[in-house]
Amino acid sequence: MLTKTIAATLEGVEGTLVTVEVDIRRGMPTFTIVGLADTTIKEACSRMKPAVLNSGFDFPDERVTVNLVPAGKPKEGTHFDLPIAVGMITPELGFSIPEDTAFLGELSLDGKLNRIKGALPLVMCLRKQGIKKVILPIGNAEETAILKDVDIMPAEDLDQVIRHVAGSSRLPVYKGKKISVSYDGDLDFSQVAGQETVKRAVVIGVAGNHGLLLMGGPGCGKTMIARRIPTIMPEPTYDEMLETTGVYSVSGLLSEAQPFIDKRPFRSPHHTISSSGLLGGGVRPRPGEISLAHRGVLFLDEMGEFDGGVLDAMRQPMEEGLVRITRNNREVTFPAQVMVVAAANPCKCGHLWDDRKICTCSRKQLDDYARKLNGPFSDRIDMHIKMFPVDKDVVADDIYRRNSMSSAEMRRQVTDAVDIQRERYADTKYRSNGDLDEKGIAIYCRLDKNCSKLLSLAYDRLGLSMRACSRSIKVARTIADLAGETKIREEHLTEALMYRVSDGGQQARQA
Amino acid sequence: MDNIKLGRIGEETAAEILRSKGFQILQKNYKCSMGEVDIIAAKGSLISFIEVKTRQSRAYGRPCESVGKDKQKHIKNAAVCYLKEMEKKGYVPGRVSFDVMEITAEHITAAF
Repeated sequence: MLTKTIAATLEGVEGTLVTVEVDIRRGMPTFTIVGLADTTIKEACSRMKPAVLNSGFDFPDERVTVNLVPAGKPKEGTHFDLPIAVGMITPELGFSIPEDTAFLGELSLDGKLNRIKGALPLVMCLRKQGIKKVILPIGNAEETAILKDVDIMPAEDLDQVIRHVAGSSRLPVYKGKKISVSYDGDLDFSQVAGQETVKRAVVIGVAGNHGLLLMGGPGCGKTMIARRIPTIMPEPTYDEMLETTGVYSVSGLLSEAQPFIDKRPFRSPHHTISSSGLLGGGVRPRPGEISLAHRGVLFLDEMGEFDGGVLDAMRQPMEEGLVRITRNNREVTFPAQVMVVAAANPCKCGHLWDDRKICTCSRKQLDDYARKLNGPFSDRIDMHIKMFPVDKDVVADDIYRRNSMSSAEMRRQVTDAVDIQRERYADTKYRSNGDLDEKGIAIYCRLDKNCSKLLSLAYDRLGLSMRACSRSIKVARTIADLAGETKIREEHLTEALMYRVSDGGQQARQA
Repeated sequence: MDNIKLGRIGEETAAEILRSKGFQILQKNYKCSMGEVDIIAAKGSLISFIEVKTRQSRAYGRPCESVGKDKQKHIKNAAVCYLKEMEKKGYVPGRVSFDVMEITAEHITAAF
């Protein structure tokens, strides 16, 4: 007796369709699983018998062989319990397994279905293969129900699944609860006193998805501003939400209380983080902080304190927008399209730019620190912003504080610029100005004669790299979008170049 | 009834069934230092080493499930012993097979 059941397996966040073949033959009772199954699947052998018997079904005391097709692809995950059990029980009962339905789920010894990891990317892979009906544990219902065009049929235990297959009682299709996007009401940009120029830079950065490097002394508001960035970010689109939730699903970070990620993530790893913690890794590769921040903000507080090697390792994923991890001749990729926001002191002690304080750093310390701040990593950050301590008038003036730009106002500006970009890049691979490559810059960021002249001047005088130049052009494009203009003008480029000159290294060398 | 007696009855029954299938019983309860075999039977060029398992109910699973890896090893070793002995006597074996014979004698009280 041979049965075939549809399931899927994951590699990173990419899924593959798997057909679970179960063959039952008379002979000495054995249970073998073949098809490059890892330990979690092999253990199904021992889970299967009690789970089936405790659900009130007969366990076939015969020679059972399970094959996972394609047999050459390594597979992992406990969600193969259900398809194996269904493939084993149904022929005994005389029913056939529907070919248009996939089964995913881990079995408890009492026959209950346990929550599984990576349910959303698994179902998304099945959807791509044209499987539109999926039976999975009730704990994963909410997470997968955001896929509107797939019939999610959650089940509590094995018994319900078998009844469904037998046709005696159909499982209802689950329609998820409504998605609501809400912002943390405690944080608002109006709480930031002064620093209006920095807030302007943040608007530009968020609107065009440009990386930000905030440099300034201790206590001038770097972290405060960074933490408020999520309050002005454009709402994630449906597809972006699926991508982000997929990464969290694979990491097992979703819970019943938070079945999907409906906001842009904000991750701020501590500066002692290892490169595998930041980029992902492990024997069975797991996503790192950069992937958990996908479509959101990766905030590197105290960038100067990060290990130099870790920052260097981030360069390639940042450029490519994905992390590649190679294990046993196969490559696992995780998405990593993040807006990098870094904050750093101008020097080790932090007082370099403060006229009221004295910098106590040694020559060597200044040099070492500057190397990190001006290294190849920060060259890949589009905007460098120099922050100064808040003016004493602002501290005194209450009214000034009340008039400071609020998150709502900033978000309105961002949303307008994002809408312009969405329209412009509707049929292209780009999503925002920050995504543009050389070809995109040539098409969408034409510079007139005056601008070109200005740029070559800046290249010469400011010692910019060619990469820094093209990044400034992209920032200028965003500034033009914020102003509602179709052409990049001199003033836009001037402002963009302003976010390149605050060069910590030069300052350090002058001091 | 004790298990030894049940086993004996099972072996006798098994031998009877094998005979009716055309097997010739070569030896019962063959023992050597390496292990033992319940029944050794032959049919044509085929020689079978048969482990007989007798149970009174299926409460503990199928009888053949209790023929584990160790038991299988003992039977194989004993079979090698036996075949060597036979070789000395000038017997040339053909195919060899290792079988398990399940006998379940379940007494269903007040069945209908």
